[in-house]
Amino acid sequence: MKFAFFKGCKIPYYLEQYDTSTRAVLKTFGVRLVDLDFNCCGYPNRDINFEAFVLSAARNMALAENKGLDILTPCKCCYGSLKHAIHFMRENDALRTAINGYLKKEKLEWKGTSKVKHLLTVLSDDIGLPAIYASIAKPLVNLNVAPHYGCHALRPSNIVHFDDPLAPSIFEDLIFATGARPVEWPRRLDCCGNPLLGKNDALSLAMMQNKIDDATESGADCICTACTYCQIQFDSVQANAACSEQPASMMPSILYTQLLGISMGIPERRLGVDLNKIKLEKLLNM
Amino acid sequence: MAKTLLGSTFLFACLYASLGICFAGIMYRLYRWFNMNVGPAAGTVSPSRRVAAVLRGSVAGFFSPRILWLLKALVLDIFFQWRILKTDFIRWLMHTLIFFGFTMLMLMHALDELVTKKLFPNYFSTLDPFQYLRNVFGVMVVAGVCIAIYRRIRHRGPSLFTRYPDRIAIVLLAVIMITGFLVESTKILSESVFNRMMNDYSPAGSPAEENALKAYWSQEYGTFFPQADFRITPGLLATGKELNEQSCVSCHSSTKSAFVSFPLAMTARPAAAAFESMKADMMLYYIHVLACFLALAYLPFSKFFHLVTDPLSLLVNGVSDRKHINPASAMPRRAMELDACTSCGTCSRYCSVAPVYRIMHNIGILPMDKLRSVRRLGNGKVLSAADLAAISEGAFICTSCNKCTEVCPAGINLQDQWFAQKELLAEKGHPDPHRWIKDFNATEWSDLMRQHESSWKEVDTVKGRYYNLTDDSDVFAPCIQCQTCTNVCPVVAARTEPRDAVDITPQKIMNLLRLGLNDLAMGSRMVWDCTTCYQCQENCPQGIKVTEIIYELKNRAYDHVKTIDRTEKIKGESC
Repeated sequence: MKFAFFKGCKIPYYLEQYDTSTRAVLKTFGVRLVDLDFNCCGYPNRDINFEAFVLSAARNMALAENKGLDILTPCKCCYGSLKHAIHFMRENDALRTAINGYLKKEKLEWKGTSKVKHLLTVLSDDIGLPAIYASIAKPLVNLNVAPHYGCHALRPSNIVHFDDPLAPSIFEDLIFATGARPVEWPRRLDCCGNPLLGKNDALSLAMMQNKIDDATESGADCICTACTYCQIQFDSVQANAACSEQPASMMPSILYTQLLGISMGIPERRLGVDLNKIKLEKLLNM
Repeated sequence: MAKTLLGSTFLFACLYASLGICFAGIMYRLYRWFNMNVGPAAGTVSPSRRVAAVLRGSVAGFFSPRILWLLKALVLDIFFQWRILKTDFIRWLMHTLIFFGFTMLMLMHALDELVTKKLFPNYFSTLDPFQYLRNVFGVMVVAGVCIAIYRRIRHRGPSLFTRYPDRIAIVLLAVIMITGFLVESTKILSESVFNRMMNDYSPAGSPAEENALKAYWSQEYGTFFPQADFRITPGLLATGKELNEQSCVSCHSSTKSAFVSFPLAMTARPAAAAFESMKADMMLYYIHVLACFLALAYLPFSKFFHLVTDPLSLLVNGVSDRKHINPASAMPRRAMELDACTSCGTCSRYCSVAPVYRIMHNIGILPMDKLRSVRRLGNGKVLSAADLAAISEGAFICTSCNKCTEVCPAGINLQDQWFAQKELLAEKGHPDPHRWIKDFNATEWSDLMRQHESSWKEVDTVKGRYYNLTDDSDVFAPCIQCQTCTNVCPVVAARTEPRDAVDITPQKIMNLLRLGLNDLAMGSRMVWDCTTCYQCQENCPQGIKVTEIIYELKNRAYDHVKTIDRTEKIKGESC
């Protein structure tokens, strides 16, 4: 299996461990990841200019199509952005013509032949749960994990086709495979608040805190994420916000690839666990 | 050659004047590095504290394990210019040719008295391998300059502007190189130079012996004798060769090894008499040397200064911890980096938001231009609101993906420059649009937009209008005001303070659209605090694209208000 690896803008500087842990985990399943000269997925700029967002997304897909590759992305915002672009480009002829006009200057063309898949979909469907179950070396029993679905992969369901938007189960299934216990928490489908960081910090942190409090009340040891923005919010942003006051306890957040990697017996160093700002003590003591 | 330089008090004085100006220029630059405010005012320290921080940091870095990174920067980044090679082979080739060619010419040729003569006591400029090598290095520089000119014409565009500092640098280099070759060529041809040499180094020869030597030299070395009153016979040449070996060869290798100057001289041979009469060799020599002195004096104010600042930037940034920036030493580093930028455009070529530039046409989106605006902000000139708005737009479209920083051949910590610039712009009242939109409330924005009615009309007919959700009643008329959207909205849920409450909830937005009061929704808190989680759109029982409507309101609002001067007063009363 070979995919064009669409990391997005945040991973290289802000969340290197997502890159290393994803590569480590996918390598054991024989998945090859190809790096292309991608640009921004367009999501951050959709607020300002619609056409700029579509061109950004379309260019990435055109680059992958050029190499005959499907796209795998570990970030849910990037996933949502690319899927939206596919939808708009397919349904709006004028837009598609205009965008392809820009791409032509770089000898690129968007035809819509490359599929865009999120990491969790690849793990669950392409690699398959049986293969994942078979790869577990160290089941993470007694670990209560709150799966955080995030927003942009899940909704709007008619565009992103990820899972049932009101009662999804893909993340719980994948967490079960590691031996950990996914907890039920009422706010599991809520937004983490990261899109508002830098725009309305008070609101962003309030939304984050709502999620954390809910996870704590539901008996979770940690939150599990599968999106760059969400992990940054629950890890770095929570840690920075907590510095100003004395936190009673911080809710650790771990990437799914790190969780899976640990249960597969991959050394923590390769998964970048030490780079997470809030340490998951219970996991380290297993 | 050395004798002539030192012999001429005029050139001697010029040399010292150029050195003086160069030194003064460097001192001025250093002064600017520690006095320029590059970055936010918050956390600014006095220049003396900046000097202290830099000194302390350098000493600490020197005596730490990070010194190994210094070696890596020195060998890979500075010597082999690996960072250029990674991104562009042709550019690396061009730069290596100029860099190595010019450095070797500096050391071997310009500083021959100080360097080459000390290493090789029997050095003479006309001796091989020095004569041959001088031509090799000269060709390297010329080839590099040709590639530079070609690139700047072929790839001109948003990531490669050619401005006057680039032109001056290329022209100066070209003048120095070309006159250098021409000096050598005219000297090869010159009879008076030959006569001077003969008088100094093999005098008291009979006229017959003189003729023999002249014959040999005109045949083998290319000298031009206009009044050749001898016939060239094999016998004469043999005598000449013998004399040459006695008196000349120890300092003069065959001029044919000057593989550029010699053919050049032969091509120009017909005009040799004219060159002689106007003392072309002396004239060209003066031009050549004065051009070098000009470049020397101009160095600290020119693109050539990157010879000093780029290695410095590569060393400093190669060693420093990028995640923990000391604010006191950060400002001087940022100021120094502004002088290290050579406008090569590599950063802009790799920029993640270059497609956004293609649509929005604000050159301030691209990194190379952002660094220029950093300099403008740091120079302390008061910029207009329109200028600041354009700079701010570019700064906040950046996603801080770090790609430009990874590829910058000068090792500039661009990521830190962008963070500092964003903070500074926020201080000046031009933060992220989602924040400056809060300068006014929804009704105030509506009034302001109407005040600028002309821009209102233009924007609505702007090309690129692919969707029109907010003016199409089929889209929002089905709203039954069930308030599901409001009840699932996490932004509404998180706003518990009455003062901070959301002003217009999602279902109210639908109402405003139905009433044709789109402008009242555009500047609202709800629209700009929307976290785009799509809960409203997903849960709407009527299938209304609520989030897409909010996005469209944001896009249109931005187009309407981005040119409005926010320091303007609102006329009349708000409703």
